[in-house]
Amino acid sequence: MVPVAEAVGSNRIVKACGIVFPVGDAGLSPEEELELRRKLVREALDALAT
Amino acid sequence: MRVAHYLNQFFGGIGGEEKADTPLDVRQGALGPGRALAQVLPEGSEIVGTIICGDNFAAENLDDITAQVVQQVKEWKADLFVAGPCFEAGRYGTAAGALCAAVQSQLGISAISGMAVENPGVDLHRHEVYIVDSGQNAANMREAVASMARLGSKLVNQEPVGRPSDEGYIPQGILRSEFVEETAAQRLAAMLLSKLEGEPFEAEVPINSAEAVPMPPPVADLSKATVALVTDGGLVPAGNPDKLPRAFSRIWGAYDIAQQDDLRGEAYEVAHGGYDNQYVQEDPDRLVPVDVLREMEKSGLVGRLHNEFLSTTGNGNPLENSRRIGREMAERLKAAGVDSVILTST
Repeated sequence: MVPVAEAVGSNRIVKACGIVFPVGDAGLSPEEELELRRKLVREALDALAT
Repeated sequence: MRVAHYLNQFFGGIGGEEKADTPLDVRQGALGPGRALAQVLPEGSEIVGTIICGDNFAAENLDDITAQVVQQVKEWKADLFVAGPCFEAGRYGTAAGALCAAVQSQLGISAISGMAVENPGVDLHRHEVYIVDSGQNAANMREAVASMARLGSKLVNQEPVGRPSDEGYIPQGILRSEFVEETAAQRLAAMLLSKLEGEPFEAEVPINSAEAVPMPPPVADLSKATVALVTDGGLVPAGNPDKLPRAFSRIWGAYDIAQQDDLRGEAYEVAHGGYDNQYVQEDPDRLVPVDVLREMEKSGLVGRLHNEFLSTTGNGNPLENSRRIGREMAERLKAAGVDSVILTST
């Protein structure tokens, strides 16, 4: 929903995995999913510090 | 027509910001902008009295002054209650809107205010109160009071009220059916032609436009920062203690995670009717990533994970409602010393 976030004026936006699991992916193995979540949260934190 | 008028301390001639804590004061007759208003009211009208209150006093004692204003307007046997115009003054507009709403509902008489479109009183009260678009400042006083007088007397006389653009009031979000000569296709083609020719046209569906939000400064040092998790995906503890609705939510909740390293599905449920909840239900960290933030807290990448997450349902919510929820959440997080927020959205 990045276009919605942009339309309402958000200024630090990280594209997440999907509407039904923003920071996860039920199609991955638990280890891969956890790694993906680390990466996304890290990206969000980097955005906050930039 | 008997008119009661409400003014803040500035327009009531008491003083500026230094007098903003002035308590409620009642005067007979018209005063300040009321004199301009009296000139444009229909013949036989009279401003019977003026109620003045300081902006801070009104904001801090709104329930009390509302009761007093309602009582006074009743004693005056007024047919119309006029508040403002308030232009861009936020506290003034907020009080004026609340007073108009209370007078209308408690006394059953008409009420009208005037504000700039940006005034926070508009978001709060435009659905229940007729608020004339006053423009931004007192340079528009004459036009503003003229519109208020015109629409106010229509309300008192129970004449049909036209469209916002014809009557000069701020849209109330009401859709009214009406018969037109042209089909939708014809109207659309006419609009398109006007657009192509650079001529003005009016869309039939208003598009909400959001103003730009100023970017907060970056977090200087993540390893010292308190990070909070917020979501509009509707995650709530099992049993949904605050009864967060699955759509059109006017509320939000704050839920303790101080002892949690990992959110488990059996302890939570999802109050959101706008997406398939099964994946978040299986593992709530997919929405509110407590597990990895706990890791990052332990490794020192972030200073601290805030001890509660905030949650609401971002499903079918009007923008002004979402704005209010956002303001309330921000106040709570600021008061708790939170430095930064990750908001996950479904």
